[in-house]
Amino acid sequence: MGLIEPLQNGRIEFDGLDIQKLSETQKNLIRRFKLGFIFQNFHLIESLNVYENIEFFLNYHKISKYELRLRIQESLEFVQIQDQVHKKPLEMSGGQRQRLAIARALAKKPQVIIADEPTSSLDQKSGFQIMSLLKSIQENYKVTLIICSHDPMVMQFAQRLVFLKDGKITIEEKKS
Amino acid sequence: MSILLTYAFKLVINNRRRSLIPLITVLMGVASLFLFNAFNTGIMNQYRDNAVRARYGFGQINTIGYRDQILSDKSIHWIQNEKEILDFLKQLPEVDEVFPRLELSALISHKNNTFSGKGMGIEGEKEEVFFDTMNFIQGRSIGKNEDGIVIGRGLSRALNVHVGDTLTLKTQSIQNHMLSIQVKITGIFHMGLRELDDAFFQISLKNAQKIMETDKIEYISLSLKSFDFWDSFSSKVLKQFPYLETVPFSILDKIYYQNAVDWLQSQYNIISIIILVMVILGVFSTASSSILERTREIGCMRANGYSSFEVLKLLIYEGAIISIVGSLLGIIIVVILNLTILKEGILMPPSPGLTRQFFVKLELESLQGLKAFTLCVLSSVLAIFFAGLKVVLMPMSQALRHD
Repeated sequence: MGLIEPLQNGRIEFDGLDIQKLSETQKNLIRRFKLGFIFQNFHLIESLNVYENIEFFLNYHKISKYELRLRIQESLEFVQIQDQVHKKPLEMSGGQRQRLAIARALAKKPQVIIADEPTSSLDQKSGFQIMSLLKSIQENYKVTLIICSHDPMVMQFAQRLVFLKDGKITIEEKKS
Repeated sequence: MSILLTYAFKLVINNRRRSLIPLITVLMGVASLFLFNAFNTGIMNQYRDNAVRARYGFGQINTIGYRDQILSDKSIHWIQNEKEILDFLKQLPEVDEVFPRLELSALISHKNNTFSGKGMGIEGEKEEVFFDTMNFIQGRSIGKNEDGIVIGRGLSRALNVHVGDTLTLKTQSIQNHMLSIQVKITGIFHMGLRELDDAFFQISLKNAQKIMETDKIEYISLSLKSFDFWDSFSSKVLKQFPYLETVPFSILDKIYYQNAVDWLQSQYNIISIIILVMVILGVFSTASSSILERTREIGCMRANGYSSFEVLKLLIYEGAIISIVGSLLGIIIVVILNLTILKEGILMPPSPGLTRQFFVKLELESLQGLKAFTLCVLSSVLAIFFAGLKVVLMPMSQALRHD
């Protein structure tokens, strides 16, 4: 779904494009500009600080230095870690690291954010805060959020639920 | 500066532990190459200076083919118009001094002892200034003393003579007469070369010409203002005197000097390859494990739109920074060592053909430093390229899940 693995079965369209027909370069461009990722284990670069962890992934976005700074600032403020700019990931709590991962995805201004088990490395309280944050991102930034989770708490934030068992859809429901 | 390069700097600086081992590997490689070359150059330059200032000068002038042909009567090919040639040579800007010479073989006697020797007639006063590495263990050069002789230590021991003793030199002149002269020992030298110490002697050119019954000279040795002037000097001489040939000291001393230079160069090339292979293996090994540690980081980069090529470029930038810094440090350390603890050189045992110990000064050449630097940087970048290739080509999902 995140154009990370080759498609094995079926058909996926992204922005009207059949991803099976896309070259590796086209997929890179989609991942670079249109998709944001939030991983279960955060996948931050431990030797870079908070600011750099976001800036590094905006490398190819053709934006001015001013806009770059603004975007980073804005995304950090949104996830409420703007006072942690110079910290390295290992100096932060799990919740803060996940917020940084969200800020990194958000700063790209993607059309879709894919979150893989975003709460599984967090305690119940931090997990709830992160989900609230993701919900507000979806509302404020009009971005599509696709969350993959085993955590029942996550369900209350979703507009559409798809249950998978052994790779097959068992239940699909849409909340009003 | 590209942001990838900026981040390569940051990643190198922020991961000092990760960067340190490949940096030390490259540093050692550059330092070894640079030091080894400086040592070789030091040996060869010292040998060259010894050979030039002990015996050969910068080279010699003789008639064409004189050195290469087997002649029944060599004296026919000796230089006749000595004065005209010497006057011409002295006015050349490249020339510092000229030394006309005549070689001869003679029986040398003292009391009941007689040995054969091979020597040369020289202008002592001029030669003692330039040929200053004969290493006199007693007395000095013949200088102005026209009836003086200097002999090697081995010969002096065989004859049981000392400075001040009188010797009889007997030889067959070019007119086929057996002639002899009496000469007084002014000095005994020890050049460290057995063939010279056991049989070589020097007498005045006048005495040599007298005993050989000739007014010709055999060849002219030269002192130039620099080794670099040899070619221009040579072309002027050959233009003026087409029947002469100029022979640089590297040809005159081919057996010892040129062969040794070639041999040391081959040895250096082999050791360079060994050092470079060690650098490549060392950097590859440390880079492989550190890149493997970063597999998930690399997976994340690719998931966020960096292509395999761009990630590889980042790794190569990091490797290039580490190897450039390591190489520069290696060169700086060698320069500092050369200015401090290796300032006096390295004491070496006698080399083949020599009978005394000698100090080798390290002669650092910027071009060799640059060569060592370039080779090590390229080798380590190559090592990092191969170490990184496996990880950047790994499927993204596998990289993201890597433990």
